[in-house]
Amino acid sequence: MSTLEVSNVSDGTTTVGTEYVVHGSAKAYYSANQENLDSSFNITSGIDHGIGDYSWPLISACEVRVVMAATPRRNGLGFSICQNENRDSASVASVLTYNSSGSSADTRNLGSIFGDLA
Amino acid sequence: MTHGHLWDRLNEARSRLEPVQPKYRVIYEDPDNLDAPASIMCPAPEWMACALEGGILPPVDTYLRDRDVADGEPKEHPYAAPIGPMTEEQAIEYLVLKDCPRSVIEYQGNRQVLRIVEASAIPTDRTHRNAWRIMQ
Repeated sequence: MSTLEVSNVSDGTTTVGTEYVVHGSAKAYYSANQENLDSSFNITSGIDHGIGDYSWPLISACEVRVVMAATPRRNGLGFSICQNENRDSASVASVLTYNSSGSSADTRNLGSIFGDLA
Repeated sequence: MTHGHLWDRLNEARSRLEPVQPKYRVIYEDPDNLDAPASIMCPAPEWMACALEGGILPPVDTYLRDRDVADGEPKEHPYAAPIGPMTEEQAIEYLVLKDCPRSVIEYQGNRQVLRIVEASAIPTDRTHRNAWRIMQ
């Protein structure tokens, strides 16, 4: 496999440094129903620790604690999700999910992990 | 070094390998948190495809050593030479060593804290999910 080394990319009108593309690319992603992964990249496994408590270990770790964006997957409103700082690390992404009452609740969810790789 | 970075190999594998649905799940209880419900681990189908294919994943002991490496310091596993193909059973053992807490792997008490089961053994009714424990 070859490598294209350039300092900028352009669509003919707007130019951006390639560091923004490289650093802005997701390093991992997942879409899951409890511990079962519908699709993923750079994820080893899905771990269900209990209701609304999930972890996603990475195959290739990040340099520091993961930076992630996640969202519940539902056909309705009222669910929320947050990054679980009690479980996550440079090599594990982890989330907690809640219903509209603030109680832990299962929901399908998906997320992307950004940042520099180790 | 001709094998490049692990993430590059994963990118290449993504374009040619079909995901493999795993037959097994790993159930474990954390000896450092005995009040917590049992955790259930399911291998990622894309990861399983890489494990069965070979030439992609690093040796599992690189992950074990990297656990003791501080964030921001060079890690071993992204740059290690990949291992060959595994069977699904070997892949599950690899996963246990990589992703289960160290306290589970090193536990030497009388309680069974780790069990590998078929996927069909996991209950679908999650009404009392937070009360699940490994049957002794």
